[in-house]
Amino acid sequence: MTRLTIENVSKLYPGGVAALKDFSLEIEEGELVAIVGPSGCGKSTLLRIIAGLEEETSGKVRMGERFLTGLPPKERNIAVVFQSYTLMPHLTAAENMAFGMRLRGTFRNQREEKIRAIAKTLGIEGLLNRYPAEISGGERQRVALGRAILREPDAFLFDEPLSSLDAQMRLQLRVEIQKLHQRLGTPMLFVTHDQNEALALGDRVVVLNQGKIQQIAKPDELYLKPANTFVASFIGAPGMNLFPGRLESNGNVHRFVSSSVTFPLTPSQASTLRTYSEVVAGIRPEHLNLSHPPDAELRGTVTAIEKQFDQTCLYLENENVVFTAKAARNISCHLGDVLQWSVALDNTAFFDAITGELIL
Amino acid sequence: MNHSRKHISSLSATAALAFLCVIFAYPFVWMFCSGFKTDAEVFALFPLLPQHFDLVHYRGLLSGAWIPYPRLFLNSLFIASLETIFATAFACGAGYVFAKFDFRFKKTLFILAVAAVLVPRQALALPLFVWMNKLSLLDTPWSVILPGTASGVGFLYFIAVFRRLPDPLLDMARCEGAGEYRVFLSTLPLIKPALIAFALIQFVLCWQEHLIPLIMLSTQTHLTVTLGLASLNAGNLRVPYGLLLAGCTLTLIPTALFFVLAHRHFRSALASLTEA
Repeated sequence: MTRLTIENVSKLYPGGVAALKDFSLEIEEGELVAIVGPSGCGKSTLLRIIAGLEEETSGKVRMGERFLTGLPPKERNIAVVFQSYTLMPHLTAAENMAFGMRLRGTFRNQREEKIRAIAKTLGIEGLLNRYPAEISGGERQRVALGRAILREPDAFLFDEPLSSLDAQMRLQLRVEIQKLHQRLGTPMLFVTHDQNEALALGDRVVVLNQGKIQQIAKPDELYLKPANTFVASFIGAPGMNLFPGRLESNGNVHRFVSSSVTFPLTPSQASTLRTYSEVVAGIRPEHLNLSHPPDAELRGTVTAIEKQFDQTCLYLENENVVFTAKAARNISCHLGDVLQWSVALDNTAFFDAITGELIL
Repeated sequence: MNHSRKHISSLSATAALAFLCVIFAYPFVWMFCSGFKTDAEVFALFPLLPQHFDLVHYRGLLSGAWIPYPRLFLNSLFIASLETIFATAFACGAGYVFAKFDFRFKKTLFILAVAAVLVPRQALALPLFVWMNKLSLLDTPWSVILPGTASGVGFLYFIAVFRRLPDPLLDMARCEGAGEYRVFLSTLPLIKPALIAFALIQFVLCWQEHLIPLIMLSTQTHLTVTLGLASLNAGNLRVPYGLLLAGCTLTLIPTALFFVLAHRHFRSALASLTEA
C-alpha cells in the first residue's frame, strides 16, 4: 500500500512571497487527484516540491512510510509529465522512452521489449523511430507518457500535460490517462488550470488560490456546494452569480434583498441565516429561469449573447450588477432586450459576506 | 526590362564577389605555389604557377635540416588539442552552471570573468611567466596549455548557449533519474554545434598563438611550429623563401582540415545564436 502524503507544506520565496501556505493532502493508492486554480496559485510549485525539483520551506512529503523531503529527484521514484519540452530533440521516440531505463541500467533487449509493449497500448508503435520534430504535439505527449509509465514509478505527477494540445487531442489523451489510471492503480496528481479537465479526471479535486487550499471535494460537490465565494465563481463556465445583500424579516415572511434581486426564503433557509445580517447569495446561471411579472425576481439587460451547441449563455446587467444566465439554444433575443428571471430557490447557496465561507 | 535589370545586378554581384575572392585567395595561392620555387622565382610576378613541382623545400623541411619541423608540428598539435579540449570543457561547464543555477557570489564571479576578457594577454604575460616558473613548468607544453584553458569569451558564449536550453528538459532528466552531473552530460548533444564552433575557434587561435609560447618555451625541440617558422625568418640563416612558405603551407593543414570537417556545425551554431 503506497499513498502519497503531503503534510503542511509551505513555500516562501525570498522577498516574502508565499507560493504555498500550509498545504496538506493525502492521495490514496489508485486515486487521481486534480489540482485546479488560476495561474500563479502555486499548483506547479507544489508539483515541483513533490518531484524534488524545488525545496519546501517547511512541511513534509511522504511516499507510504518513506520520507521524500530532502531527497534529490532521482531518488524519489516519481514520474512527471510536463507541459512541453518533454522530449530530447536529438533522440528518437524510442530512445526518449528508453532515457530513464538507460540511466537505471536496464538491459537493451529488455528495454526494447518493454518499449514495444507500452507503445502498442498508447498507439505509437509506428512512431518509435521518428524524432520529436517529426511528430505531432499529441504524439509527443504520448511518448512522454510512455516514458513515465516505463519508469514504473510510485506516483505520477502531471503538470498541465494537455494544455498545449488542440481540443480533439486533449480529449483523446484525457481518456488515455483515465485508462492508465485504472490499469496502474498508482497515486496520481494532475495539475491544470482547466476546470473541465480537473472535473473529468479527478476522483477528487483540489481548488487552490494564492497558495491556499480553498476546497477539496468530489467534482459534484465542488459544483453544488462550493466552500466559499472563490470556488463558487471559479468553478463553472461561467461561474456562479454572486449577489451581496441582506436579510429582511417582516413577521413570518423572510426575504433576501439586494440592489438587483429580491426573493423570499424558505423557513429552513431563514432560520439558518437568522444570525447573519450581511450575506452573499450564489445562484448558478442555469438556476435562473426565464419568467414574467409578477413572478420575476430579477431583471437584466442583455449585453452579450454566446451561442453554444446545447444552450445559449446570456450576459446581463442590472444597475451595474453583472450576471449570467443560461437559456434554451433556440431562444430569440437581442442585445439590449430586458429579460425577467426567477430564482430556483432550492439551488441557491448563501455565503458569509465577511469571510466568504459557505453558510448554506 | 525588369528581368534584365535583375540579371545585370546578379551578374555584377557575382563579379564583385569573384574580385574579392581573388584578393583573399591570392596570398594563399602565392604561398602554396612559392613552396616549389627558387628565391628568384618567388619574387617574379609571372608566372604564378611554378615551372615544375620541385619538392626540394618540403624535403628540406621534413628532414629537419633547418629546424626539427616534424617535432615542432607534433608539439603544436599536442598543445593545441589539449588546450582546445580543456578550454571547451571548462567554458562549457562554467557557462552551464552560470546559466542554470543561482549561488552566492555569482554576480561577483561573473564580473571577474568579464574582466578577464578585457585584460589583454600582453598584460598577463609576465605574471604568467613568474607563475609557471614557480610551478617548474617553464619550457614544457603545460606552460602554454594551462594559461589557455581559461577562456572568458568562451564562458560568456556558453552562458548564452545554455540560456537558450529550456529548463523543463533538465527537470525531465532529473525526474527520470539523472543526477546533476548526468543532467549536464545529457544536454551536451543538444549544444553540439556550439561545442564544435567554439572548439574550432579555440583550436585556430591556439595554433596561431605566438606570444605565450615565445615567453614560455626555449629549447628548440620544445617550440611550436609558429615559433619555429618565425625563427627561420629572423635568423641570419639565409633560409630560402620557398622553404619558409612550404612550412607555412604545411602549418595551415590542420586548421583547414578542422574547418572543412566542422564548417557545417559552425554555420548552424552562428545561425542559432543570431536567431536569439
